[in-house]
Amino acid sequence: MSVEELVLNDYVDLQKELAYLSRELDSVIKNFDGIINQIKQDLTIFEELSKSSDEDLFKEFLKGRDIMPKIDRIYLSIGDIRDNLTRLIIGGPYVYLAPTLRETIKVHDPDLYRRVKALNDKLSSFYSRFFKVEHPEIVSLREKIYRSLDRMLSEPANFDELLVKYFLDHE
Amino acid sequence: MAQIEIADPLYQAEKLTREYAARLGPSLIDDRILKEFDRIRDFITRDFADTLSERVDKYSELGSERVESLTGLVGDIDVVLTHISRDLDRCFEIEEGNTCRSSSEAVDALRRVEDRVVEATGQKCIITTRSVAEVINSLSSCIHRVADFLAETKAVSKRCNVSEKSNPNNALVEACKAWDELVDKLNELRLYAPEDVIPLQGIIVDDELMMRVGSAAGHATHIDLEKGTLEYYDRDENVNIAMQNYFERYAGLDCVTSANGVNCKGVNKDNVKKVTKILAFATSKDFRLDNPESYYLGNERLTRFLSEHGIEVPIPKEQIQEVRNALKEYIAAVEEAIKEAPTRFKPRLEELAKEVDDVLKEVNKKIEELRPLVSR
Repeated sequence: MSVEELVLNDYVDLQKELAYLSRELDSVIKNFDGIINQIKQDLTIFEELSKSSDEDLFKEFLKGRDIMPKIDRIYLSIGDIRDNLTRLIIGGPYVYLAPTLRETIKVHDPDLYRRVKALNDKLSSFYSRFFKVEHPEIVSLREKIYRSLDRMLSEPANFDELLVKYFLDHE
Repeated sequence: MAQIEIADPLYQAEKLTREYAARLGPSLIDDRILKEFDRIRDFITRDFADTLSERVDKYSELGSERVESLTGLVGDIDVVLTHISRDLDRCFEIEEGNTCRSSSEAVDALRRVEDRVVEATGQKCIITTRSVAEVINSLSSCIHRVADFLAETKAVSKRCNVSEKSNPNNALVEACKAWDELVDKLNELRLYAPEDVIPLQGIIVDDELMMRVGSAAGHATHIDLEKGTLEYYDRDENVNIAMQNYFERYAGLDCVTSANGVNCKGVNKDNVKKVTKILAFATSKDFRLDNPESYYLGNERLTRFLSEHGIEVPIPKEQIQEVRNALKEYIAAVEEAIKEAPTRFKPRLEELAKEVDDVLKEVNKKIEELRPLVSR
């Protein structure tokens, strides 16, 4: 294989990676407003709940704990954005910048190499800035809500005992 | 030999075997225990067998096909008793008591008894079979199923019957009726698993009330007003703990919980109605403990009932505060995560997308330049 052929192959690989990156970014941008709006809408319900009286908060959960699917949806929405970006960064330039490929492109076209490298760095830095609150922290906070709810609601003996007292006293 | 207090020989056989199993557990096997077993065996092969035969004939005449499987029951029970007798002799020689293990022959014979009981009543009856005491206890449970099934009784309410041959204690009749009514109410409140409601019944024989309070294999609950005792059988530790608490706190009984249930003293004609009403809460309690959300929190009938009757569910303040704090933390974390989303994140993302496209165009251009060189 000639040097030209090797370089051409590397360019074609790079082309594929960049095309994939471009499609992923377009997809994230296209769905971005919808995802953020959904998160905000869900947060409003949470905020109302967190400000309600103890009685109302408890009754809301007694109704059937319909808040739990909303917690899950927020988690999934955050996860959607993050997963898309993770795939984009890990699956994109990092793969392209494999050692052999880097050397070939670097030697043949140092300007382009620098441009792609800079682009990759920008994406990484942008990604970490946006997600100031790390994903694992959101997961652990969600788990904390579950644990708190369980503690609050899993005292079934109380319900039987309330009824035992009532039926012994009243009938 | 234990004094026989109940007129119906089917229930007598159940009681004799049950009480024998209980005594056998903690005792070393001695001559007295062996002789007592022989007497019980005699009773089963004579009085029990005769009565069973009469009842089976009577039901057969009424056209019941289900009782046919019970015609060979006494023979099968006798096989179990024969093997138990051998097991007891063996344990007597090696001085074993509560560790006296059952032979596989005794267990196999017991399973044949259970098959017949299931065919007739649709209900299993073996509880456990590791030791001889457990095999006898299971046999007693099987006899109980049959006794209930063939009892000559008269209905006094939907689920309560009195033995026609006995002199039923009126306080027990009233207590059973109170239980029956409460069962209906709790069932309407969707606090029971449907399969648990079907077998519920109470039978009053003299001063004893025998209640079936669930669908699991095992004994019924016994209240003996003369002795002042309650024997509640259950193998679920959490249910037993809760029931003991209710019996002691709300009926004033003195109870001990074991792996097989709750035994209480202090039952009398004044508190027996309370005791039976508490027993209404034993049914499906294991389901409710395991699925509090569906039985309590997601149960609209119950929450409506509580609200309509002014029964306040105590709000657990500390836990509520914990939930509130967890919600706030979560909201803050998510808000922080999306804070700059619309104003900075999205425009920046669009810029980056444009940069990617620009680089892509350049790469495309390089490829176009290189292709002619390679194909040459």
